[in-house]
Amino acid sequence: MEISLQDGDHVDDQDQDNDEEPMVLTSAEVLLRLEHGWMNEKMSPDVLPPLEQEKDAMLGQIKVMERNVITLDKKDVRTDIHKLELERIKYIVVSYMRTRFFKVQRMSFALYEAEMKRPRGEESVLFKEEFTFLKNLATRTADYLKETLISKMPPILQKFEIKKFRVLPQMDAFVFFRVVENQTVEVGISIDEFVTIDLEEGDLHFMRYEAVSHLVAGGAVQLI
Amino acid sequence: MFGERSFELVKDVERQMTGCVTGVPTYDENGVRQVLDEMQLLFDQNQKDYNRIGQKVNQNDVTENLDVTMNSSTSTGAQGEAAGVYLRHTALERNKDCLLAYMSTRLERIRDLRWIKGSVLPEADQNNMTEQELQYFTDYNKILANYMRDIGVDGDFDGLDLTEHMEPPKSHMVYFKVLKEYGEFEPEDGKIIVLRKNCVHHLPKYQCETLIRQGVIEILTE
Repeated sequence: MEISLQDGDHVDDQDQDNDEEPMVLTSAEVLLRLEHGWMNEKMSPDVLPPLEQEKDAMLGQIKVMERNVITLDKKDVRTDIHKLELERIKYIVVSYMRTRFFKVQRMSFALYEAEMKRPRGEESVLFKEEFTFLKNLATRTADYLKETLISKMPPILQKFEIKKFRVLPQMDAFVFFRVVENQTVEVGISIDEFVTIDLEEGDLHFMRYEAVSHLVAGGAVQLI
Repeated sequence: MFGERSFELVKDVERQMTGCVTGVPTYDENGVRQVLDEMQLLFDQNQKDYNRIGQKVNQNDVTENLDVTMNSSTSTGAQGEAAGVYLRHTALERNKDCLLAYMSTRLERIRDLRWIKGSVLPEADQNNMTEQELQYFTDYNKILANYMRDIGVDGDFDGLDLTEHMEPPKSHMVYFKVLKEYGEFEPEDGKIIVLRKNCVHHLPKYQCETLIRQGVIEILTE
């Protein structure tokens, strides 16, 4: 990673967990956080809180690097390595956004409903542009169904019921994860039976997503 | 049996979708119309019965509410009819669900096609779609393009094309062979190249992805 980030640019990045003072991270650290976020996003059935700062910082970095790479000597073998590294970083950002995009598209009506009900002050799980997309898509799809189908039905059935399109994340899907910070979780094994499991740093586990979903966003566990 | 035709429609679309993962099946106009006709029929019958219950109930001085009729043991005739109304109403709801499932599954596939085949659909797929579906595809295209343009716009970054970089890069440049006559192609550096059949070119991988999806070129080496 150091190659493309050799300038050691410092990117201001506000740490989400620490409201008191902004944390200063190097580009390499930001990239690492984005990489972890990307892996979590890929493996989790639900949409995770957006890495707004990391994404914007990395997009800015890509722009700088793209400018730099043009000025390099084309015959130098390092230029190609630079370019490949740049491609890799771009791939991670694009793949991160794309993974989220497909989840948002699939669960569009459910997410739209949740966004509408979200109390003021609570953080959204979507990027701003994702919400705009979601709104447009849900509206267009609903319009299409109303126009082609619902309007042709008998009058009492001419209602668009959003609850019929509610695709929810599969929270009981199993996930692999590595423990980053010591934790204990309660896992339901039947309707009224729970077992407490100690998660020790460095351990690998395989369990239902719902048991650890609250730990993923905080970074206490890393999905793999 | 009520709802049989609509269930058939759902089963059909499921079969077609698993049978062909990269295209959209023909729109079953007949099937959809038959289900809508059945719904109209059920609805008319219900209206008639409902009015009749209303008359009977009025005679017995009970409110016109259907639930009350169901629970009142005073008018057995009305009770029988009310049961019929409920049954038909359930069938109506089911038909509606099946039709919505049919349409939404098609829409889902139509959205996927944007990712598989790009913004211009081959004629074969277009022929299988209705006019409204084609319109939906065009609009989806616009919504998607707007979204991709908006990414990172606050951070002074002009959009991100999510249809590029589909595979993790193994090497920066690739050799590829042209499979059919395409004409001029403009890579990012602005030097136009002409893609002729069987020619071999050398370009950055991510710039080739659209051409690969369109089946114009084939990668030779990684």
